[in-house]
Amino acid sequence: MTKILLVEDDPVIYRMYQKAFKLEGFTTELAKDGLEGLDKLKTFEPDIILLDIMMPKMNGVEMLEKLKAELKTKNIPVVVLTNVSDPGVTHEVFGKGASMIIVKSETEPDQVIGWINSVLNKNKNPDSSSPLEQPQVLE
Amino acid sequence: MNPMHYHKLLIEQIQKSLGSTPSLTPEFQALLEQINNSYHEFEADVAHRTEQLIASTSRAYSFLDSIKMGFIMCDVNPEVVLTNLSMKHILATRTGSDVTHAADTEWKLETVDVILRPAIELKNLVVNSLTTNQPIECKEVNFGIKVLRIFIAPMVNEVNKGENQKIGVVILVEDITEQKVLERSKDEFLSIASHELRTPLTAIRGNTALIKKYFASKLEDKDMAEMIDDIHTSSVRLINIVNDFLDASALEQGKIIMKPEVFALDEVVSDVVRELDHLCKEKGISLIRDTAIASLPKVTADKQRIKQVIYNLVGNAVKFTEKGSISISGHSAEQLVFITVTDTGRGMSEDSHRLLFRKFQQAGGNMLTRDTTKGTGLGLYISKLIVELSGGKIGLVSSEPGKGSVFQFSLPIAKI
Repeated sequence: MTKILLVEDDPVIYRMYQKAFKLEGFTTELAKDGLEGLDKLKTFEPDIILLDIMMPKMNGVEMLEKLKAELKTKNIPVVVLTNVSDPGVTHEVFGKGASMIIVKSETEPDQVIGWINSVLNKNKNPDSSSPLEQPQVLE
Repeated sequence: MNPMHYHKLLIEQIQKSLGSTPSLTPEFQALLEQINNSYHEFEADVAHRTEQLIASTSRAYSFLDSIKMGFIMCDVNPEVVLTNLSMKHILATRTGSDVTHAADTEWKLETVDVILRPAIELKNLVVNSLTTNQPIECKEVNFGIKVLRIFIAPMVNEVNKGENQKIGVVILVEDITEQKVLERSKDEFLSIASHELRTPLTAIRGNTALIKKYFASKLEDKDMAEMIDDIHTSSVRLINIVNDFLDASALEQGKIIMKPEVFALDEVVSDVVRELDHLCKEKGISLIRDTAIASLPKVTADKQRIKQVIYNLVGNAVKFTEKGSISISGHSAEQLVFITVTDTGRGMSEDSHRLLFRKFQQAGGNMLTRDTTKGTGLGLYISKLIVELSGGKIGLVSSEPGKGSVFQFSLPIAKI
């Protein structure tokens, strides 16, 4: 069963994804900011992390940096879910090791599930010749 | 000394040189009288002119003091010869001195130079402008919490025809703090609006999509299913409007950086055809891609943005065509590749052509007959900005009501 750490502060958004993932049979652990996310990772080992950018206490970019600096977490794929369409931010999170960026408003929940599955498949078969097609991010 | 006094002295001197003869001839008296009068006239004239000079100087000073821009005039040494009230107001935060009027010149260029450091080295710039005889502009000088625009220009005086003499330098200082604050809040508005509007829309869109997908069996009531459908469609429409607004503003402000790459337009055209084919089939119109596009030379442009342009042109054609076909063709000429989109749709009358590529315009022009289901009227405007930023041109080739329209854009051929 796919285990997801969802780091997202907005209730209407996290509740929507929690429902979508439950309906799809994923296990979801929720953290409402970056600090809580790092805390959850002490006991929870997800297959993938879904990370929002704009959050209180510790934002997504800061958390991504911490994740990639830690031996224990640096190999967990991170999918950034955001509604910030700033090319600077997009560039920054890729530079810091995000596997994918999804613009929330442009993507239906079942498409998000599809992208999660393809990131996980790609991670399982790193030699797979099919390149992962990044969903269109219009900046 | 009073002219009357000179008059007295003059008579004394004359009497001395004439010896003891005490009386003067009447002619001599008359002459002295004349001298005396002309002294009076001269005196009155000087007083009048002095008055005029004072008036014109104080007019110049009050003019200088009333303008909002800071002003310093330097001579060729260069040393301050004139400043104004605004200049002192602008720099007051650092001088700490009381603000006086323009006429006082206690300021030294050195003092102003020190005040403005480290943002700029004013004295060096002034010397530079003097020696090169060229104006210098500093567009954004951070000065404490203020932002200043400083303009330094040499002053020349035409001595003889064609012969100029340097007389100094003028320094103009404009406080652009308020302007900068406005600019910044406009930028922030864009990114905040984009985030804050999209987030709730995402939840409306996502949740209705989930209901449609996982709870279809519970939506037995047809009306209820339609309502959920309409909520979903509306949220997607609203997201597209938000995106169009933000895209247009970002393009206008130069916030969108084009990422040029070399690619074949055929790839992009095929993508668009694939994405819109379904919609065309639904409407019963055919979407034809000319195979000649495959052999066109490659172009250098931002692929995603060009896809947006083609999507917009073909999408518009689909929107306004009820029967017949839409065809996409291409050719190249003189270092340019042309893509042409031809439809058999409703077409436009000639007087609506000129408004087509303008912001918020839909052909038709009348505010109340706008077809809001057809979009915001920003699509062609955005496409125009993108094509022009990519070094090409976009336009309407022809259109006739009831017969259809032909749109075309060009892009420069890649230099490999």
